[in-house]
Formats: sequence, structure tokens, C-alpha cells
Amino acid sequence: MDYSGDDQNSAPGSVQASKLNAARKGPDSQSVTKRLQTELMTLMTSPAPGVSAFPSADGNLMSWTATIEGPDDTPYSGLTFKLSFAFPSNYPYAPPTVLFKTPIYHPNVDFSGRICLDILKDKWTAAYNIQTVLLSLQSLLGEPNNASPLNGEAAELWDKDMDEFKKKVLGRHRDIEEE
Amino acid sequence: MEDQDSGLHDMAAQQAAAERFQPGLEGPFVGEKIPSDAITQEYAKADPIYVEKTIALPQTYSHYRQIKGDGNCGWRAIAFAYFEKLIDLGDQAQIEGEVARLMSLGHMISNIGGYEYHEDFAEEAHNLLREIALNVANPGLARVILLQRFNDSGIEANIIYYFRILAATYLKANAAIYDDFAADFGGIATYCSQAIDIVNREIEHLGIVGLANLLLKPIDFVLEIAYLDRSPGSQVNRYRFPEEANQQDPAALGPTLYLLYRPDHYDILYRTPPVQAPASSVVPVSVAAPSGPVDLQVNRVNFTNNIAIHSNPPSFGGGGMDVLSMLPGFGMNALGAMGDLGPLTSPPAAASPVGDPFVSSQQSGAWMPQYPETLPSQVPPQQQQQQQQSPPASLPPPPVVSASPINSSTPMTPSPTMPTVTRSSSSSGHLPPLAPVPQPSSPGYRIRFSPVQLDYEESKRINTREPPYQTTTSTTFKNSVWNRAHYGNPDFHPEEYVPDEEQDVRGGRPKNKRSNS
Repeated sequence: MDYSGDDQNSAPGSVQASKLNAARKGPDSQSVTKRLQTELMTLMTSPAPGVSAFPSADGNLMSWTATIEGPDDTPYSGLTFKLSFAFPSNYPYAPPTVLFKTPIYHPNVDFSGRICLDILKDKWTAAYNIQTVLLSLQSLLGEPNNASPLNGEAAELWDKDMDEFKKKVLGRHRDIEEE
Repeated sequence: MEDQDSGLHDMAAQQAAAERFQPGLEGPFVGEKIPSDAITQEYAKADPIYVEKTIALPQTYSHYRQIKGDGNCGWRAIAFAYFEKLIDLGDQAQIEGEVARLMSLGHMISNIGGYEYHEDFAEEAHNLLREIALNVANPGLARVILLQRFNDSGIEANIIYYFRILAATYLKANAAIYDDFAADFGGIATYCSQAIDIVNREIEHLGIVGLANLLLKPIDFVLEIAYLDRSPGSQVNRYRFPEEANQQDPAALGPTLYLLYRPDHYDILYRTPPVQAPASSVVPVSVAAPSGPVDLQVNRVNFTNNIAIHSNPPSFGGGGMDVLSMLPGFGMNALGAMGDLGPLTSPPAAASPVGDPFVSSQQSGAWMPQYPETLPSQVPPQQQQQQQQSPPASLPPPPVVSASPINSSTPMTPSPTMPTVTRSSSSSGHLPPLAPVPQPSSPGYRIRFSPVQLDYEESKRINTREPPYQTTTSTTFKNSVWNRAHYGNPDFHPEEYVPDEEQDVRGGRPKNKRSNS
């Protein structure tokens, strides 16, 4: 299954943060590369539990693959999710584009893997980094924002029928091959 | 006459111009330093409050530098002014000390600020400091480098973000103090992430506080912001950071960065170098009114009253002056009156040294020609011209009030003890609604001489022509705001045309009106 056709993580109808920041030129690609190398170093030397990230195999530092383990005590416990990160040329002044590559049933993720999370849009700050994004996504798994769902059915089931919700999660999940 | 017509038409244009104002989104991130007259011109058609404030502005701040209003202007303006001030001071050791000091903040930024990847931001700012330090002997080159770096999008983005995290780090380190200020956000940490860390989000008060305390205060820098808005007054309001700088004697403050704030936008201001130090014994230490122009305003408002005093000298003995001189602040705020009364009483010796800088300015000069004896040697040519045409000093100018019906219907003997009784009626007769509201806190206003105090017979006797305000000078002055026929003048009175009394048009007042008095 190919979910990479649509490479934006914004909710339909919302303004992409990267577009909001498009008018502003950021650092040149060299300094983005430098920043990403620093982040890679940190992720390798002091990894956070349950999340990891690494540049994609093609050697392009502007595109990464990340992994999140489903937190215990959530419907996602024991499951592993792969995500793609695409960094804009003015990163970190604009957020990376993050998509779930692994199919996931979640109120704030649509069926294309696009994520509705404020820090990836208008609440993005240049103080965030790959690790903070991953940790935020990990906590989003256990605490969905049902006020603005991308998947209305999931939001409803989360509130009303957790057993059914868990079934849907397991039914949708499948491990994907390493790209 | 034409002035009046065009003035009325301009009112609509003024309103539109004021509403249309937008901080520049074109052009460089940081512009060139230019004379602040440009601001005056920009507001020439704005409403009278802006006109008055922007006319006064260049007297205090001779130059300004436009900053791009892309949401970073406040941060950018402070950052640029900080670097530029270091160049101005030209102390290489100080600049290198700044590099060391800022680098030593790295741990605090990581551990307390929580900014893991601050190095890239910091490095750009530190590099620029080092570059400036290297070229400190050549300030011209250092300024070129500074301007160039701030107009390089990659570099300036990092520097500005570095200033953001410096401010946020300070606020987080003092969360106990600032949590309450960010209650709406649920604490200072959230405030920082939602108001300071966000790229292109404009600086707010807390951000300025953070920068002032962490960046500026340790090297004794002060930030002074001039607020240009529609609040009443003839001057921009000023506020200094850190807060305690507001209570200090301006002369004792460290190097000061000046910003101009217009709603939602900051630019950099440059203060006019002081030509003459004011006599500190007389000028009180005051935040709102540290300089001359505030006092000049008082002279203008008192204009009518000065005439009244002058035209009736015998009524004011030394007793009246003694009362005045006991009033706090009188010496500063009523300088005009003091000067006129010089021959009658001996004014405090301190009055004249303070008076000189005020009188030498454009604002005062325009209103002084009625009293040649108070003029110092340096008078703008324009005023000298007017002075020649004004009545001789020995002959007291006729009081403006002489034509007023109020005066004839309420004759009163002058009395220093009842100065404010008829203040409202006299001001309504002579001060148009445009007249600036006097600051109630100003002690100079506690006592007011009403024109109505005049001896009625005396005022009739000297009821000669009104001094020709409006037509004695060049077209430049005629169109200037200091002309009473200009709508921007606080004493605005339109020129009147009376067909069968040609000769009186010059006086701006028809003869029949005067004969009633």
C-alpha cells in the first residue's frame, strides 16, 4: 500500500504552516543540513525511549524515517508505527512534513496518514526538533484531541466504545516493509 | 481662506491616511538611517494628535531606521540596536566580553530554557559580535557588516531567534515572578512556547522584559521606547526598560537604545545629541518630560495669558510673584511668563539657563516674537522677520481678549487670588477644540491668569490692532502648523473675509466685532 502519494500532513481545509512561513526565507540548505546532522547526533547518543529516527536510505538528509512504539496502557500498546519526515529548506523556521506510513486508526490521523497536530502547523516553533515532534506524536496516541478529529468515527468510538475502537486499531494496523 | 477650504477637505484625507497606515512589508529587513523628518512628513495629513507628536519627534530623535514589519520587527530592532550600540561605544574588550558572556549563557538556555538546539542560533549572533570586535577600529565598516548581516535572511533569522530564546530563557528562569503575568497561558513556559518561540510572532511586553534583563541590563544598556499613538499629548510617551530606569535621572543612564513604537510596529530611533545640558537643579527627573518640548507646549498654551499679564503691570506686585514662585515646578513650566515679568521681579537665577534651549527651538521661537526682550540671540530668520513687524517692545501688545464679548460683559479687577474662575470661558473663546489638553499633573497649570482679570478700562485704552499673526510672514510660515490659520495649530482660528472691511482681514477679525467691546 502506498501512502506517499499525498505528502502533506495538514488537515483538509487548513492552512499549512509551511505555507504561512513560505514568505520568509530561512537559512540556506547548508545550515539546515548542519542542524539535521546535529539532531541525528543527539538522537543516536541520547535516544528517547520509544522513539527513533534516521535519515532515509537514499542519503538525502532532508528526508527521514522515524519509528514510534505505541505507549503502554493505550489501544496502540505493542504496536510500532513508521513515519516519514520531509524537512523544508527553511527548517527549523518551518515545520517538517510528517506522515504516518503505517496505517493507523486514530481520531487525529486520516486514512492517508496525515496528522492533525497543532505543533506541526500554526504552533510550530523553531525550538522544536525531531525528537520533540516524535514525543508529541507518541503522547497524541494516548491522548487524542477529539475536538478536531480528522477521523470522526474514531473520535466517536474513543469516547463511547473503547472495545470497538481497539478492534478498529488492530484491524487497520499492519507492519510495512522498510523502504 | 484657501487654507481653510483645503483644510476642511484634508480632514477626510487625514482620516483615511491614518487608517491606511501599514508598516512596510517591502524593502530590506533593516533600512538605512534617515532623518526622522520623514516620519513628520508621513503624518503630515494625519489627525492633529499625530501631526503634533510627529512634528515634535525630530527635535528629540533626529534620525530613525525603518525595520521590516514581518512579525519580527521588535526583536529585529532591539537586536540591531544592541549590535549598533556596541559599535558606537567602540570598545573591543566590551564586545569580546559580550561574546564570552553570551556563550556562558548556553547552559542556562539548554537547561532552563529547554532549547536543545540553540547552538546554531547562538553561533550566528556570536560570530557577528566577533566580526564587529575585529573591525571596531573602523566603525564605518563594522556598520556595513552589521547592516549586511541583518539583511541576509539566513543569518538574521538565526540572530532573531537567538534573541527570542534569550528572552524566553530569562522568563523561564524567573518563572515565579512571571507566571502571574502569563496567567492566560497557564504559566510562563506555555507563554514562551506560544508567544515567543513562534517564528514571526511579534514581541510583547514580556519578551522585551526578558531581553532587557538578560541582554541589556548586565552591561548597563537601557531600552527606551517612544509610543506614537493617539493618546492625548503633544509628545510621544516614553517608557524605559528595565523598569527601574524609569525612575533614574536620564543623564545617569547607561547607553540607551531607542525604539519607536507605532501600533504593531517597531522602528529604531536615534536621539539628537544634546547641545546644551539642562540645569539639573531646575528640571526635575521625570520620565515623561525629560526634555524641552514638553515645556514649550506650556508656553504656547499660556500665550494669551502672558499678554494679559504684560498689559497690566501695576496690578501684579511682588506679592503675586511670590505666590507663583512658591508653586512647585513654576520655574520650569511658566518660563514664558517669568521672562516677561523679568523687569518687575527678579526671577530665579536658574530660569534663564533652562530657558535658552527651549527658546532656541523652532517651536518656541514661533511664539516668542511678541516679546522681543525674552528672545535669545539665536532666532530663526523667519521669526526675526516677524519680529521686525511686531509692535515695539515698549508698547505692550494688545491683549487678544480685548475683542472678546466675554470681557466686556464681565469686567473684573485683576486679582492674583482668583485666577481660575473664568478660565473655562476664556479658553472657550480663544482656544479651539484642537488645543491640547494640559496634563493635569503639571504644576504649571495650577494657577492660571485669566484674560478676564484685566482692568476693563485699561484693556479698552490699549485696544489697538491685534498683532498680525497670519499674514506677516512668508508662504512657508503661512502654511506651517505654527500659523494660527492652520488647522493643526492649537490656537486655530480661520482667517475671515469681510468684503467691506478689506483692511481688517489681515487681523483675522472684523472691525464691527471689535467695536462692540
